[in-house]
Amino acid sequence: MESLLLLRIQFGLAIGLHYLFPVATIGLATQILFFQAIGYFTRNETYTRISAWLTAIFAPLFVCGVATGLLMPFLFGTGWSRFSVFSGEIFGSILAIEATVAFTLESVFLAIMLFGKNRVSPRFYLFASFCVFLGTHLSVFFIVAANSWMQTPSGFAVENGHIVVTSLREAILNPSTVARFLHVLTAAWIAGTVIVCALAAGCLLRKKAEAIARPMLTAGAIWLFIMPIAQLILGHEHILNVLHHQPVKSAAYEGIFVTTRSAPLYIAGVPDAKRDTVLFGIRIPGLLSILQAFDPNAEVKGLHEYPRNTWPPVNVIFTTFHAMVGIGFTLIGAGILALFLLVRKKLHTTRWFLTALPWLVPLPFLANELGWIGTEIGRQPWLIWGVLKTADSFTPAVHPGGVIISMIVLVIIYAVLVTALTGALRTIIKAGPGQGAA
Amino acid sequence: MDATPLQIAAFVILGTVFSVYALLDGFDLGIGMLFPWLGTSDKEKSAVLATIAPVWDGNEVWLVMGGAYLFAFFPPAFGGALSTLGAPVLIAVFALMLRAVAFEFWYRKETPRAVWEAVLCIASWLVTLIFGIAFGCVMSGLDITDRGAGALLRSLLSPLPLVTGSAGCALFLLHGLAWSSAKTPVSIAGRARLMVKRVAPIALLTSAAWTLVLAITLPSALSKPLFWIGIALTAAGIAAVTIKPLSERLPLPFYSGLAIAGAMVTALTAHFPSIIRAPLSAGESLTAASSSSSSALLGTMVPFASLWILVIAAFTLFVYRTFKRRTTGEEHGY
Repeated sequence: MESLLLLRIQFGLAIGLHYLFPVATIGLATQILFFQAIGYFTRNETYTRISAWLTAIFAPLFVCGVATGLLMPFLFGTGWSRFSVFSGEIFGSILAIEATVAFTLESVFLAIMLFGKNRVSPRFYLFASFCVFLGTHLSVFFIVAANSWMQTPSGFAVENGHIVVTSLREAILNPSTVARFLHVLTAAWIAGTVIVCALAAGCLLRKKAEAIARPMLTAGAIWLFIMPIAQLILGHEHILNVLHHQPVKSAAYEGIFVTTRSAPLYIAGVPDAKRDTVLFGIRIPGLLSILQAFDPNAEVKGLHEYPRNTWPPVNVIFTTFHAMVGIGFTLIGAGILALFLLVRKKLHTTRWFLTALPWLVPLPFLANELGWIGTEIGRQPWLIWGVLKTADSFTPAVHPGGVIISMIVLVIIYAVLVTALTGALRTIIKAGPGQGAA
Repeated sequence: MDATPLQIAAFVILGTVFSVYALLDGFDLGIGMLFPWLGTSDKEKSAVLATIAPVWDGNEVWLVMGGAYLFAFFPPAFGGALSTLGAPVLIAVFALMLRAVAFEFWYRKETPRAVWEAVLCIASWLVTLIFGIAFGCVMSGLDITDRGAGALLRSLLSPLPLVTGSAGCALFLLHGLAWSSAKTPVSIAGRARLMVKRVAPIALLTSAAWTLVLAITLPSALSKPLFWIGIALTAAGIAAVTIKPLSERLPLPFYSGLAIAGAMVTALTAHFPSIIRAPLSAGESLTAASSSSSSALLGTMVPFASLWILVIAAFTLFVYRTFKRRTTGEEHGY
C-alpha cells in the first residue's frame, strides 16, 4: 500500500512537471508557424522577426521538454511493471507509433529550424517549421490517444491475463480520443496565445521594439478572443463525452450525489462525500439539466447510482474541475476585453491592460494541470477504466526508499533546470524581437 | 518453441533500432566524455559542441523508440527488465536529462560554463557505462523474479556486463573522436586525430576481451556466421579508423560506426532468440517466442515499423547532409 502511494506520487510528480513544457512548446510552435507564414507570404519582415523571437524562446523550452520527457516511458516499466506486462501490446504500441512518427519528425526538422536558417531556402525553412508544428501535434494526438485508451478502452480482448489487440485503429480512435485531443490541443494553443500577448505587452510597456510589438499584440488579441470561446464549446463536448462513457466521473465533477430532475449547476462549493452534499454551494437551479440534455427537467444521475467503491475522490475532482472552468471564464473575459480595446483602437495604449497581460501567463498552465489532475484522479480506482485497478498495476517488490530517493533527485534536477531556464529566458525576452537575423 | 517469422522480424527491428541508437548517440556520448579535453578555449569548445548540437535530440529519439518497441513487442521483457534494473536505468535517464540541458545551457552565459562542462562529461560517462553494463547483464543473465539489491548487484558486476561496459565506453570514445576529427576546425581535428590513435588500441583490446567473454558465456554463438561477420567488421572498423588519413573520401566516423555496428551484430546474434536471458538458477529465459505480443499486433506493427524506419533514416540522412560542413565555433545564431 505504501509503495503504491509513493509510486503514484512519483509518476504524478514526473509527468505533472513535464507536462508544463509541452503545453508551452505546442502553443509556441503554432504561433511560430502562424507568424512565419504571414511573414513569408506578405514578405513583411516584422512578422518574420516575431517568429524568430518566439523560436529563440521555444528552443530552451523544447530542450527541457525533451529532457524531462525521456523519463516518462521508463517509469512505466520501473514502477508499473504489472500494467506494462498487462497492456503493453496496445499501450506500448501507441507510444511506439508516437515516437516513430512524431518525435522523429519533430527532432529532425527542429535541427533545421534552430540551426539551419542560413543553410536552406526561406520556403524550405517555412516547411521545416510546419513539420515541427505537425510533429508536436501528432505527438499530442498519440499521447492523448494512449491516455484516452486508459479512460475509455476499446479494440482489445483479455486473454491469459493480459490484453490482446483486436483492432489497433479502434484502440487509438477510442470513444474519447477525439474529444480529448481537441480539448487538450486548444488548451495548449491558449497557453501559446497568452505568451504572445504577454511578450508583446512587455515590449510596449518598456517602449521597446514597438513597431514589432504592436502587430504582435493585435494578432494575439484576436487569438485570445477566439481560442477561450472555442474551448468553452470543445470543453463542453468533452464533458458530454465523459457523461456518456464515465457517468460516475461526470457526477463527481458536478457534485451530484442523488439522482434528480432539474439538476442544479454548481458554480462553486465544497462537496462532502460523507454527508452526500455540497457545502457552501453556489448553484444555478436546472442549469446542469439544460447543459446535459437541453431540457430543464431532464434527469441527471447522481453518484448513488454507482457502488461507493467505484467513486473517484469527489472532493479533489470537483474542486480541480471547477477551478479549471473558472480560469477558462477568466480568459474568455480577458479575450473579450482585448477585442473591445482593439476595436476601440486603445489596445496598444491601455497601460493597466498591458500590465495585466503578463500576469495571465500562469493561468493556462494552471488550467492544464487542474484538468489533467481531474481527469486522472477521476479515473480512480481504475488505471484502465473497468479493466485494471491501479492497486493491481504497480511493481510489487519496488523499494519505497528508492522511490523516495528518485523523487528527491527529480526535484533537484528540476530546480537546476528551472534556474538555468529562467536565466536563459530572461536574457532572450529582454533582448526583444529586434535582435539577430530575421 | 521456435520463434515465428513475425517474432524474428520484431527482434530484428528492435535490434536495428538499438543499434542505430548506439551508432548515433555513440558519437555525441563519446564527445561528451572527452568534452573538457577536446577544446582548449571557449571558442574551440563551442566548435566541438556545434558538431552535435543540431543532432543529439534526434539521436536520442532512437532510444525512446527502442524502449517503446520493446514495450509494444515484448511487454513482459519491458516490464521485467525495467522493474529489475530500475535503479541503474533511472540513474542513466537522470544523467541523460542533465546532459540534454547541459548542451543548451553551456552556450548561454547566464550560468557558469564550468558546471555544464562537468555535467556533460560525467553524465556522458555514466550513461555509456550503465547502458553497457545493463546490456551485458541482459545477455549474461538477469533474474527478473528476484529483486533483491544484493542479487542485482551480483548480476551487474559479473564478467560479461563489466567487459560490455568497458568495450562500450572505448568504442563510443573512438566514435566521438572520429566524429570530432571529421567535423571540427582543423586545429581541433588534428588533436582529435592523435587521440584516435591512442584510444584505438584500448578499443581493440576491450572489444577482443568482450568477444571472448561473450563466446564463453554464450557458446552457441560460435556456430552462427553473423557472429563472426560482426567480429570482422569491428576489427576492420577499428583498424581503418586508426590508419586512414583525415583526407580519406569516406569520413572517419564511417569506420568507427562500422566497428560499433559490427559489435551490435555480434552481440545480438549471440543473444538471439533471448530477450532477457535468465541465469541458470532461475528458470526460463524470456525469448522472442515466449514473451512476444500477439501475432495480430506484430502483423500490424512490424510492417509499420519497417516502413517508417526507412523514412526516418532518409530524414536523418538529410539533416546530416545539411550540417555536413566543418564547424567554426561561431554558430548558434537562433
